[in-house]
Amino acid sequence: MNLAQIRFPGKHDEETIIAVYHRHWFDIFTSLLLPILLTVILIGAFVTLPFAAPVMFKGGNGAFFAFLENSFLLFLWVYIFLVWIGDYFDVWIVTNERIVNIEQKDLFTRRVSELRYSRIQDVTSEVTGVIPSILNYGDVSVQTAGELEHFLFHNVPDPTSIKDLVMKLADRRHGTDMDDAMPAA
Amino acid sequence: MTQIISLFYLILFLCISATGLFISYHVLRYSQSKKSAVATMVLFSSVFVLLLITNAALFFRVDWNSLLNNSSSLGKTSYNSPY
Repeated sequence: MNLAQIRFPGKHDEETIIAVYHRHWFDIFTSLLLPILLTVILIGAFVTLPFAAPVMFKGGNGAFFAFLENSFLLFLWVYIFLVWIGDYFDVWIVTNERIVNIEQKDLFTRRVSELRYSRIQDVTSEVTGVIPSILNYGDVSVQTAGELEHFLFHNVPDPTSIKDLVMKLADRRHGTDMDDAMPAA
Repeated sequence: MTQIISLFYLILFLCISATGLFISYHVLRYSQSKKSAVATMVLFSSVFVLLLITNAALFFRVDWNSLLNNSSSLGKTSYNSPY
């Protein structure tokens, strides 16, 4: 992905995007597993039922069952995209100035929060479970100064490298602040 | 009865169309890059429109009157059969 083409609300002109993180593909896949399974079952039923129970499709019943199956497929298609929007549009953008978290809960709930590096005190990465350990995904928690709640990268790929990147950027910012605070020699 | 079913279907059709429009709006408005927005839109809208049109066509192909008559006469038969 070309980082220069990425757009997000409130981006400053001189701000440079360093990295963009979405949830790990397996985490999105687990959310989509049920509708995908239901779609496969529906298509399977659509193919096999006319042979297995031909009585059901006699006369006007055939059109009725085709309508029912089509309706279920339509609802599943919409549902798959609703789940996908909720998961894939959760995004964490690391720039040279701050971290931006865009959280999409459903179609009508979207939260954008940001964290400046000067407020970062501690960064922790956590991988819990068998599959997350094998696929290397988990959470990165950023503790901030003050009463603000901690900033969480949820189920992102390679959390250790994200933690290292955030720490490096925070250290660099703290170093700049220290240089600014030091009296000129 | 057919009119009630048609009215109910019209409401459902409008609701699902509105949801499809909201999904399209979100994909176009909030995607990080234009390229991925266009690709997702093409995938979603092509299948969605196809399913929606076939759904409406299938709805009008169903003979609701005979279907409802059949189901009501089935009910009567099962009720009367013990006597």
